[in-house]
Amino acid sequence: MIAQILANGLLLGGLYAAIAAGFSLVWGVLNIINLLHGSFIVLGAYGAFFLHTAAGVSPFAAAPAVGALMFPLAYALQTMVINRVVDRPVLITLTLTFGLNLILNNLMLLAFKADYRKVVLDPPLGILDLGAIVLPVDRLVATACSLLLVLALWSLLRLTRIGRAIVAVRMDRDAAALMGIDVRATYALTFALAASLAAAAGCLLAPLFPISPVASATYLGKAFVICVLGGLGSVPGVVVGGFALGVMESLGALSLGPEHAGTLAFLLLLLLLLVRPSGLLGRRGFD
Amino acid sequence: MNAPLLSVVQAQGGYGDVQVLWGVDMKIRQGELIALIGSNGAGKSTLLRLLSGLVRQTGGQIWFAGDDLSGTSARRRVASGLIHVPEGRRLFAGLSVRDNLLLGAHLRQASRAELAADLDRVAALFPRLAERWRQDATTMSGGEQQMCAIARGLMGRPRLLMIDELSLGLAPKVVDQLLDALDAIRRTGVTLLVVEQDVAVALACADRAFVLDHGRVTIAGDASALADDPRIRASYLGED
Ligand SMILES: Nc1ncnc2c1ncn2[C@@H]1O[C@H](COP(=O)(O)OP(=O)(O)OP(=O)(O)O)[C@@H](O)[C@H]1O
Ligand SMILES: [Mg+2]
Repeated sequence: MIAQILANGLLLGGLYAAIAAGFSLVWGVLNIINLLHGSFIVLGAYGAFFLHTAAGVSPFAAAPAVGALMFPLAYALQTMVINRVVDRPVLITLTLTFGLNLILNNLMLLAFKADYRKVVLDPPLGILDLGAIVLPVDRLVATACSLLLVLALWSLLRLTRIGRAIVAVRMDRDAAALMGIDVRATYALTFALAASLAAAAGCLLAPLFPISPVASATYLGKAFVICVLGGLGSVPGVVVGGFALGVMESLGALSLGPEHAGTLAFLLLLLLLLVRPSGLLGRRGFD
Repeated sequence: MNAPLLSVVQAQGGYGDVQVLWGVDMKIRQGELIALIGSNGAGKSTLLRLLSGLVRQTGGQIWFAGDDLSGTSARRRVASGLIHVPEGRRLFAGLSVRDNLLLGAHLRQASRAELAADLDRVAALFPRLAERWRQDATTMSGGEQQMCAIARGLMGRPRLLMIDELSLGLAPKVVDQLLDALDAIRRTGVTLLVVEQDVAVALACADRAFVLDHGRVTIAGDASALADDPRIRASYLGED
């Protein structure tokens, strides 16, 4: 019983890591709380939905393509709009992303309607019966893909020249400029990367959860909690935070019923904030 | 006489509405070691930031290697070989010594082999860094961090390396090591502009020196002559 709950929680948590990774990246590097993030995820899920209905593309295969499509859109949005206020106080950038999110969300409501849609895999992927625990294969695949995405982000930041530049800008903008790094271009790249990751995560969610513009606030809320749980701005942080939230929700669903899963998670979050205000891993860099 | 490497003409600049530099004039020739001295708040760091493009220029000109840099990006200046080791070292926390050094070479289109050779060169210059390649750069001692900051600057292949607060907070023995390193750097043909609190040290190692006071160059000349200048002795060497 406990093993099954843990397994459910970990499967969910692996998905959550990809949901939060881009949000954490933008917060850390641009110092912007990007309220568009949940809508980027939902947009990605719609991408997977339409590719699936129109062309029968598996949502898992759609993830890289939808992510790549998102990149130039987000890059343009960042350079044309967000870069103009990126150095202003958080309240201004927050208001801007709030407004942009309102617009994007309303556009999605107009285009897609508020009804819930879902990608129904045909044939279904079935379950993996391990005796003590039973794992739905669709969730297993989604979680594995999600962790791969997060690993790819980590490798990019850790091992490449561009990634090092992103980390340098996060740590110290002026010192990064003294290395010859184009700080504005790095912001745009970071934002676009984060949006791509969000859209790809949305594709992975498409066969598991109902798709609707109204779901964006839920995803945004989860990204928030995960960042606080894991400590802001590090890739290992979102993995730890994601798993922590997944397990909490799964325990919450057991003790209070599925409809209160989120409530328990937030209660535990409040407790954690009292004990360890800097998150489970503390406040560290992208390492 | 060949043209100076850096020529600053009546440069003005500051932060927002606060003007700090009120017309700075300065010429530096290829291969010189120049000391920039002045009391706290005189504008030394601001001048270096103006030269590297972090502070907005509101007047005058900056010529470097034949080009007018006024109004150009920080990136462009790094690319042309004008490199600034900032006050407080400003190493990137959470990144290893090696990653910090590689960031210094960010703009160069260098092959792996070239980068490896340059890492070897700075390791030979500062053997203490070579023992700490994988360590978080900001967990090193102050002296090691300064070495790392200078080495990071060298990774960009500077023509003019500007170092702000070379010796601040460091033990005399470490300062001696840094001065030896500056000598070695100079012998490779790099021109140096060093901001130094310790005026005696500055004048002992430099060819020439500029004194900055309230955003203007008030005294300039050969370091040995300035060491005997009564104004300097009174104001900066603590004598009456
Ligand atoms: N970011 C800033 N915004 C506004 N004013 C600044 C800023 N940085 C420096 N100043 C002001 O500019 C003047 C010159 O400062 P600067 O740091 O260039 O002096 P300095 O000669 O390097 O002094 P020190 O020897 O203490 O390093 C000071 O009056 C300082 O208050
Ligand atoms: Mg200074």
